[in-house]
Amino acid sequence: MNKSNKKKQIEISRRQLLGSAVAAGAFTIVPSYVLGLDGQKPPSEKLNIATIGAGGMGRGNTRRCADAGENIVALCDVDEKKGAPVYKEYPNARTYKDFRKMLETEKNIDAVIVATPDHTHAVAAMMAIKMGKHVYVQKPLTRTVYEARKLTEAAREAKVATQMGNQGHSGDGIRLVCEWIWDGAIGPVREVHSWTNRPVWAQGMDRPKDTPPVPAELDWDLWIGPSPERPYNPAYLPFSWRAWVDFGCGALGDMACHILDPVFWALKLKYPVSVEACPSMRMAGTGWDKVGIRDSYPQASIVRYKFPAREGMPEVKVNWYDGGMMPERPEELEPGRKMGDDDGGVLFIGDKGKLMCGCYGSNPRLIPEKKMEEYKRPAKTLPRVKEGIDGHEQNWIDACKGGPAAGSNFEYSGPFTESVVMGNLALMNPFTLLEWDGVNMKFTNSPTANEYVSSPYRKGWTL
Amino acid sequence: MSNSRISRRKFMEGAATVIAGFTIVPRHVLGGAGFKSPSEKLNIACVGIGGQGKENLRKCEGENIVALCDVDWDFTAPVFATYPNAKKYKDYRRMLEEQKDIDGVIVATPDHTHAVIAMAVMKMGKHVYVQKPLTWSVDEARKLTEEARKAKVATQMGNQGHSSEEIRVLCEMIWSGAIGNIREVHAWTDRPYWAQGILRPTETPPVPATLDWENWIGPAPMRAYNPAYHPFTWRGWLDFGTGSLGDMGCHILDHAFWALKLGHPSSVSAENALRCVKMWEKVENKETYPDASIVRYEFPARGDMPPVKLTWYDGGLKPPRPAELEKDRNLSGNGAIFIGDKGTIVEGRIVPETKMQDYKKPEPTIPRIKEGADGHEQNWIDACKGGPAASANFDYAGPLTEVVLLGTVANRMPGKLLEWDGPNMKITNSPEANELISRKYRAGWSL
Repeated sequence: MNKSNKKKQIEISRRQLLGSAVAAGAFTIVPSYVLGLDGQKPPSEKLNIATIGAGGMGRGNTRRCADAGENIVALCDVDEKKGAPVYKEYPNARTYKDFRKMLETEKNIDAVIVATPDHTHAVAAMMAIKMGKHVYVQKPLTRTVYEARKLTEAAREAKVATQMGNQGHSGDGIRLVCEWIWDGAIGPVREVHSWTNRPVWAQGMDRPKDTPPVPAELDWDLWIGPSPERPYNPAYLPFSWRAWVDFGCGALGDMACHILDPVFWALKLKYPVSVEACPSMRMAGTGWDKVGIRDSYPQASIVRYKFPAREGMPEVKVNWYDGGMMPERPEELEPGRKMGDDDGGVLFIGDKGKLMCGCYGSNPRLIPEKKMEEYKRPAKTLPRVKEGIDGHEQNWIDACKGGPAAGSNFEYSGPFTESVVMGNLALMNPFTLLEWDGVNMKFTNSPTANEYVSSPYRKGWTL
Repeated sequence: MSNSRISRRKFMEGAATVIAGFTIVPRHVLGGAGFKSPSEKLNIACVGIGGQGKENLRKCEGENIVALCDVDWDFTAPVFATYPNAKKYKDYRRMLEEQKDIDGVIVATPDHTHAVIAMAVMKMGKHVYVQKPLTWSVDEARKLTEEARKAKVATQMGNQGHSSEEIRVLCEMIWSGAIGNIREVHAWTDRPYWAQGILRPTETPPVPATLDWENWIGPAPMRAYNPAYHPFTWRGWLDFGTGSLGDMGCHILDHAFWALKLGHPSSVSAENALRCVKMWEKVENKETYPDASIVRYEFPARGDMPPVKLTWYDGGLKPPRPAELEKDRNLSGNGAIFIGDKGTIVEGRIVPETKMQDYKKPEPTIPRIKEGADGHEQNWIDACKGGPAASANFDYAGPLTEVVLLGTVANRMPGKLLEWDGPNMKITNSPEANELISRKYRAGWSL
């Protein structure tokens, strides 16, 4: 393959296009991904970006790409009403309800933002990847462990630029955490506690029984996507799908991809060796039976992971608390000082000290503050992302254009997501030590927990 | 005391007019604590007979069951029927006034009426067996304990595990240094098995004809009747019950309280699972206890024992798995873990189990109670008849209950570290929390 020739070809075709000032349709003749170069464009060219799930988190992601000067060529949302204000912002973008139709029709798309509810991340991202398009997928990358594994493998094979939407990964805070821990600021870390104030939506309930009509603006069948069919109810959307097992990943899925990010990076974690969890239990309806997860995730939970020794670092226990639960307050924290920030935080416990940060690895401090003041900070060796957290989309755009892999590309965020959503498997099989064989993607001591490593798709849907 | 015996014997001979006879010379008037001899039968009354009271009564059947009191004559009908010779009451105050032959009273009402009833009983010089938790508020526990001491009556709290073999073995193991010094304890329950985290019902169905709602409410603030409160489900409601911790803490924390000689904590704090009604709006529930919670106590050094942290989990939450616990073993629904310098005890046994098998238990030094936990009522009956103080008498059970109820105060103020001055019964850093240490009674009620 002669790369320089191909590059020239693309440049020519793009320039021709830009010169003729014709709309998106022109690209259907010579889509850039067909031209090879792993689909990567030179920095000088504009990407043609499409967003699936444009009406929610996708709106912010799309705007950042538009502000960066990229072309927003297509927008997709199953809810016309939610999509409308976004569609208005990009009058030149063609709009769709079905991402499959969009990807099939719009041949000029270079890159896709997937910001749907969790249950459709994998199918949408996989189709885009298989078409050789770059993808930016909101966190958690997928709803199941299996989907995260498969997306990671597909991205590797397709050699596309990938990024998970855990924007904190591009921040300065997470880099400081890494540099300080690698500097030995608190010695070897054997214990980590992390927490969030989520869920800030209702969890711990059974599915509603009423069946109101589907709003005219919503394509319910497409919203359900690969999940099992059920009647429409406003209890599921917008946003509140996070609570429901068939659609979301609960408090853990919402926030652990942010909060545990500095833990995964700084401690170089991959697959845990075991996980054990306890959910808040509720009355099951009859007699003395109680359930933790049924239809929806629990109101509160504790998930306890154990990761093996790796790269000169000792075995480490990583604990997660949500729904109002917190780890024990460290003695080193001065009275009156908040643990983490409003969204949550992390406490790293090392042999020689403790480090605390907020959500996204923000505002890391050795505690007590006196120790922070005395600490001689190491050189900032990790490259910074321009604009930090706000530059997360640009970081991906740069990768799409041939720059280095994005910070939270799937080689990193795939295994990370696997570990996060595995916590939900432990919550479904609570109070039991589940031993995980990461390489083979299965629990070695629980056939019942293994049933949830992947979920069957509804007829007509495949990964 | 001998007077009392004579009067009773005379009475027994008379056989016919039992109740009336005693009104002339009630035992408590005769001085002393009115202890009967072991050969005599006690006259026992029970207030709150539908739930645990029924079980307590069954174990007291060797004595005379002379009076039964319940505000609800419907769901308690089978219990009344079991004791046809006992006089029936709806109002315990009337019972205590009218029926002078009562020697001892079992109080097994919802938590919010324990104190007023037990106090009235003790002030009349009668013995009392009170279901756990001893009271609804810390202040009530303190006052009952003081009154019991003053009245010199036999007392027992219904935490029957305190009479068990298991708790004695645990104390002896810990006191003999089986796991060294203990600085960390975790305890948990799978309660609640009733609704918590819910709001007050708005519908106001009529009060069933068989229920005296006014007296069910007792000293608590008046509210409209609703089946959400009675029977049994009162436990979840702040005004009436004490939640999961109140229900089970007097059993589960009993082990730590005795074995570690805990006394007053120095601080307590809690985290609650709070429900959301709307996006981003968590309900700070002022009606019921949370669905799940963690309560953290700190106790200062006691004698040669180091300071200890005690953490409570309920609603499904559990402590971390101890490293020594076998991988295929799981924690039970309720239990405690003691973490010592030299080992760990899980649910009464050293872990791993191989270590327990090798361990030689120390010689028993604590007197055993016949029938163990099943002998808890008899243990009280023996005390009523002049035997040694019952195992969970109020000098022990009062302070234990205070610890438990401090946790429920923390449950009502989640996220705040409350500093406790035990001797002065005061939360020193939160006037708001301090308000919850005692309760203002509804007009017409006093302790």
